[in-house]
Amino acid sequence: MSVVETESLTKVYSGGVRPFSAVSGVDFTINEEDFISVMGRSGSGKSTLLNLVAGLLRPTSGSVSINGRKISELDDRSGSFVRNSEIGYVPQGQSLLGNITVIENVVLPFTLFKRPGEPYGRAKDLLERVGVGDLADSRPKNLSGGEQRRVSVARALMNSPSLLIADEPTSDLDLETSSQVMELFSEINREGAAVLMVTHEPDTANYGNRHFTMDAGKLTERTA
Amino acid sequence: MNVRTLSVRNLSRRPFRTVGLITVVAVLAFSLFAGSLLEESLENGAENVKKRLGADVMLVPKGSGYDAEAILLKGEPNAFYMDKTVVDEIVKFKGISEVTTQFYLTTVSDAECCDFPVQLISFDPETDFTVTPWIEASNGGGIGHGELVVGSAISLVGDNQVKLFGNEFPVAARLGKSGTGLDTSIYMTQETMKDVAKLANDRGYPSPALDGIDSQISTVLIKAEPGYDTYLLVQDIRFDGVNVDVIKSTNITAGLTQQMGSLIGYVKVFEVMLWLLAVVVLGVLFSVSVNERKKEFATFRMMGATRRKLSSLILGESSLVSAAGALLGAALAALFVLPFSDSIGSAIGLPYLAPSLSAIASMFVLSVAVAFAIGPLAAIWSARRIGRSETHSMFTEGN
Ligand SMILES: Nc1ncnc2c1ncn2[C@@H]1O[C@H](COP(=O)(O)OP(=O)(O)OP(=O)(O)O)[C@@H](O)[C@H]1O
Ligand SMILES: [Mg+2]
Repeated sequence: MSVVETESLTKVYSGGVRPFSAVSGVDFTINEEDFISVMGRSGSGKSTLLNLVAGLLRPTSGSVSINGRKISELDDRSGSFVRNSEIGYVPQGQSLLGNITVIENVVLPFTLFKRPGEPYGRAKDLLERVGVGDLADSRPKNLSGGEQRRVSVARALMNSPSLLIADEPTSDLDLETSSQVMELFSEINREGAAVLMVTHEPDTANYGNRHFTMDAGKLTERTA
Repeated sequence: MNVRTLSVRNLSRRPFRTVGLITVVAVLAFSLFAGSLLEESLENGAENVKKRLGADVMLVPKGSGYDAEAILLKGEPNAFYMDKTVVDEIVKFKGISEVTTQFYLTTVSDAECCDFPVQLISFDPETDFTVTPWIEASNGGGIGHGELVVGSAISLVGDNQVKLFGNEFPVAARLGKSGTGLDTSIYMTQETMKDVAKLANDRGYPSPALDGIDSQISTVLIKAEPGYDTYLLVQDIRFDGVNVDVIKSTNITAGLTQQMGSLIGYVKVFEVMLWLLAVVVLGVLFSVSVNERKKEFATFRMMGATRRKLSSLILGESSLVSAAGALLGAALAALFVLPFSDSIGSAIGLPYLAPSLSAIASMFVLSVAVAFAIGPLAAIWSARRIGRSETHSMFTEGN
């Protein structure tokens, strides 16, 4: 079974001067072993697509299934639960909560729903794994951009998702840090999580094993 | 990491804002609790005047009505006299059940018992129906010749005695606090009053009581027959041209209630406005902070927080702030108002009697509850807004 499946997925923003179709009729499937890169001009609808897949936005028409469940048709609680337990999301820019420590940030997704077990051990392991284990008790604002990005990757992995979504994960990182983060993504992908990533940078896109282009709301796969 | 710890962290990382929010609620809780204490104490005071008066109608010499009320309500001692024969003119009227008389004398401030002038009142144990019930309630017995019954503000010396004009008198009973002029009064029988008047005279305070006490009185107190309209009785007395001022106990309390009414009215309006203001101020502040924190909420959504969770995060913070402010404000009010009950009473110039401990406790709880409600109420709008908005827009805007 595929991790993600969309059917003529469409999002029309009606708030502006005239209705604007940010994503139109996207049909695609993501399998477990996929590491997908999406490139495209600014405003072509990439972030909108990611938000639709994650169930953060309701499609105007069409649907999104995550592991066979139509997240676009679930109620808020069930949809949130799917997002919480099956999707890890690494957003663009700084997204850690500043009032709590690094490790508390990582633990947060675990605490949003009742679960058995103790999250701190795993959170610590994840921080070690992304290479910032020694920063567990720091405040996010004392971390560099690259360190923050790693922490948000660790946070995305907290509930062992089957899909990792990342919106321009290297846009504000230097080359070396970028490649470290991308190595991490590849590793996660090899361990069995599908990756859906938007990027503007060809070097970053190269880490993927399937490549898509977004243009005016349409998604097309580039075959090498 | 749950909603509560997160709320606490968020609040403690913005100390200035948090203290500001708490202060707003605290000011309100303070005024609510202090206001209701004031209100309740005034009502209590008025109720007590009526009870202590014991009579339905009080007659005093023509022109002394105002002074007589001042004795009761403000505790300003005074004395006035009329001929005892007034009683004979009165008893013939319809609707009278009991009649008794009292004789007034005032001390000057060197009475040695007190820093303030004291109202001395003698009554006739044979006919009295106003003071006796209180004495009985207080000491279970009566009052003998040479004994005094004192109001709660009169201080005792030695072995339960009061010093008047250089002489010590045993105290038979001390009456409970009434919040009225009766707290600075001393009661005694006619015979004792004669002794006191003589002592005063010996000390160089020529006293009208000395010669007049057998023929003069200060007031006639009347109890109407049950069910008889005191208004009719008062009409009769006035028509008949008896040379007295008539004070109806219902008028006194009605007058009090009226004076209090406007005071309490102002306090109430003030409280309601303050409450609304607090809700609006907090509402605006929460709304601003929700706007500032859009990205934080978007992050929560992204991690899989339900809309409900977001709302409860906002409501949780506002409830914490509100609870802290409400308790703090009401506690401060208790600290600053309760111990100064007496001085507040005299500053207002109305009978003022603090309510019972249990009444105070329930007012405390109520004030805290009403003040506490501000936080969640002010936040509910922001909470709903964040619960409804589409998260993507929260996300892209911030970037
Ligand atoms: N809430 C919204 N209401 C109306 N229009 C929106 C909204 N959010 C995005 N859009 C518009 O939809 C289009 C696609 O936006 P989106 O953020 O998906 O683009 P993007 O491909 O991610 O661009 P970038 O590369 O700059 O991040 C843009 O033209 C944008 O202005
Ligand atoms: Mg984008």
